[in-house]
Amino acid sequence: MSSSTSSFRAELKVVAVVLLVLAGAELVMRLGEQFLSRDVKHIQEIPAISQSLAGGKGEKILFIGNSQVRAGINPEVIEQELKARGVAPVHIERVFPDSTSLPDWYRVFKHYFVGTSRLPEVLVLCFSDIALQDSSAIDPTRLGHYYSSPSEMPEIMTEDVHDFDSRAEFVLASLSYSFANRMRVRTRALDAIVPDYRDSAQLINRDMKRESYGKLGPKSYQRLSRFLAMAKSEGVRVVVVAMPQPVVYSLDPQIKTVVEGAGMSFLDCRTVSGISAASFADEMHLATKGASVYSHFLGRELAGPVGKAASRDNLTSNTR
Amino acid sequence: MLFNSYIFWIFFAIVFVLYRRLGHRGQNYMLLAASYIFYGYWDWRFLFLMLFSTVVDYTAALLIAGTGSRLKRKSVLVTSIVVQLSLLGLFKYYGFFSQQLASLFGFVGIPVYVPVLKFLLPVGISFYTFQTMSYMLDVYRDEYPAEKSFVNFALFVSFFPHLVAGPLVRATKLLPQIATPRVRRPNDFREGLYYIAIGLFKKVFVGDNLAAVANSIFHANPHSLTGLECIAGIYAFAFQIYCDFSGYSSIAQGLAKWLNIDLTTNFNLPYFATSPTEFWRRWHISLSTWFRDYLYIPLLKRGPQPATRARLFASLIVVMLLSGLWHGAAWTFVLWGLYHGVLLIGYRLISRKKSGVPEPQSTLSLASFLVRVVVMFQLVCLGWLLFRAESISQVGIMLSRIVLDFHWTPFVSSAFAMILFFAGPLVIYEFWVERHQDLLSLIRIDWRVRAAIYSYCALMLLFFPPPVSNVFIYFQF
Repeated sequence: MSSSTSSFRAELKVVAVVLLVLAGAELVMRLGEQFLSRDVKHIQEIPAISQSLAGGKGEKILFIGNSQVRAGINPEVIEQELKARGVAPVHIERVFPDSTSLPDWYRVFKHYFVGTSRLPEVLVLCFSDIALQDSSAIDPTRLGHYYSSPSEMPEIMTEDVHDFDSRAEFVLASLSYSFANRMRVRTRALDAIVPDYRDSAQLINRDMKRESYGKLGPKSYQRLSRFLAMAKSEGVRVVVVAMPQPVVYSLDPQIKTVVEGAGMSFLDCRTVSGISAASFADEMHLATKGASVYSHFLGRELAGPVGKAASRDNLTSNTR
Repeated sequence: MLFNSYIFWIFFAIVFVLYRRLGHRGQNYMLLAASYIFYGYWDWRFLFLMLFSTVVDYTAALLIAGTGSRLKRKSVLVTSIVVQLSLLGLFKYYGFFSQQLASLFGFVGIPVYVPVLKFLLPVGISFYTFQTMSYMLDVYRDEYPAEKSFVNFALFVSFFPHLVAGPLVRATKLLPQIATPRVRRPNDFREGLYYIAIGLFKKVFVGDNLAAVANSIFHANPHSLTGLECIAGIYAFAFQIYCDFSGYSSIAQGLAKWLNIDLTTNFNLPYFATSPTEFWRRWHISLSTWFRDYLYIPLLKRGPQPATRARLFASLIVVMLLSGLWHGAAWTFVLWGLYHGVLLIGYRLISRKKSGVPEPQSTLSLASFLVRVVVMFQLVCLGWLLFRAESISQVGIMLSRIVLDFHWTPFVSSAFAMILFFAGPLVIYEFWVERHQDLLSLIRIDWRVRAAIYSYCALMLLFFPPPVSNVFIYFQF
């Protein structure tokens, strides 16, 4: 054996140990993924949510959005308001994976609801800022690990994940739990180690957001159109809701045009009487009291579109 | 193609497999094609620029070698250098200098219209321009024969591991390795693995993670920052730029090792320098030695010998100003160069040794060594403020905040904790290497310890990806 080969083989022992350690990390992550964050727990509960929705009685309403939905929408209050306006009975469910935008919501809806034929009558799509734009960030890791099956891969690669590196990330995330959850581990670890990490992370995120805003492409809403068309073909009425933030953001009028052009409803709820910057717990999320005020408001606003859907459904079932 | 991208590693795997199956000539053809694909992946249009630059210097070197006339040799050399520097000047400096010229005329009341031409800076143009210039100068000085094979020369210019961000490798080192068949050496895999592992760790785990901290400070309104926040931002940037650039150089060295080619070591633990002179012997070594050999020494040699102190200092300032300008067309870079020039002169003035050569570390006590290292690090960091700031006024405001405002804020705690978490282990490791006086200490110890360290690196790379993947800073130079 040449000295070159023996040195190579000797170093392979080092490589083997590294691979073993990585395999160990993968095993740990597979066993303990649900303990990583309440967001993972929530995502793992989405199949149960869709099942509950399918088995629910009355008008089935599904809220989809990000953590703004978790913090800002109280289903009981919405139900109460709808009931008060004669829209009853209703069955409300919410899906709110953290830090998500339309690419995720599209896939969540398609994977867990359209794909399983567990459809709501009304889908309330809650967004803020640029979350509906085609150029809003796509996270191939989340798409790969949580919101797709192998059969959906070709479609996702064609529609959402275009460049080689994103596709590689998408495939790796679909295969590896440790890879898919790397950012969650990072956040948890730094939160435990670094003092005041949450506040400083917000500052850093704000800076990165500003940077990424400068790189956004022209405003377009093809994905939103596809989303609305998919919902329409499944007989689901969509209500698109602009959520409030402490600082009122500008809203592109194209969104309303696209939504209404698809025959769906649009509600601009960025500013609500009784909600001010003080009603928020942080830069994004409503605090409990603000959430209650907002949910009462949204319940009243939704009565119209939900009522229409309900009467249309009654009409359809009577005709049948 | 970035070294920290998936596409690059697929590309390299294909190159590596082909490389192992080909003979020497085939390897060179394949490496040349691979290098052009690698470069064209950014913007194929700039391939023509690199090809043009290659053809010019290949021909010019042959012309120089083929004539005995001193005048003709000199005129060919000057033509080649003018062509190369014109391309560099056009793409990199035209906007800056035309703007300064217009401002100057405007200041004295003569409005001047200077056409605005916005060029996309070709990646790595400063690197390959300097590399070919060194080749031309070596041929002119008869220190290296003109390369007759165009393929060999084109590969020397474009060899992909170091093409876009160095290290700058001299013809005397790289061309013989290209021209003669390469042999597999016993330690190539081990050394390559070490360079790549440590390079990725530096770039992705330390550099990119601390980039987020540094950027958030440097993008903020400087008036809103406290002095300690400014200091945290500068420290974060100090580690970001070191790990980003030395990480790239290290990966380049590792890739080349796996192709049985040696590149120049570009960094030698620069933050353990105890003096400005030593810092420049440890930081971006290939550029420092380039300026030393092709500019500083020739400047000293002109005029009466030995060179006077004034001439020595003037040469240092010229070299450092140009070194600053090499990094970018902005006054902040020029100031950064000037600052280091002043540091070097200051050190020579207070140093007891005329040569400015620092005392060997072995003669220093550990405490004295550490004190010097810490002091030198602060001086280097002050330079990084000039380097990173987006304007001179930002430098001024941040300096005034540092001097006047000592408020400790939650962000300061977080930023320092993050610097400690991301850069601390590297500093400890490099201190250990420094004490061993051997950059490859890690590959000479028990394999189990190395496996443990690599496992740590792999876990950190897996679980602490940067919030945003960053391109290598030195690509813009």
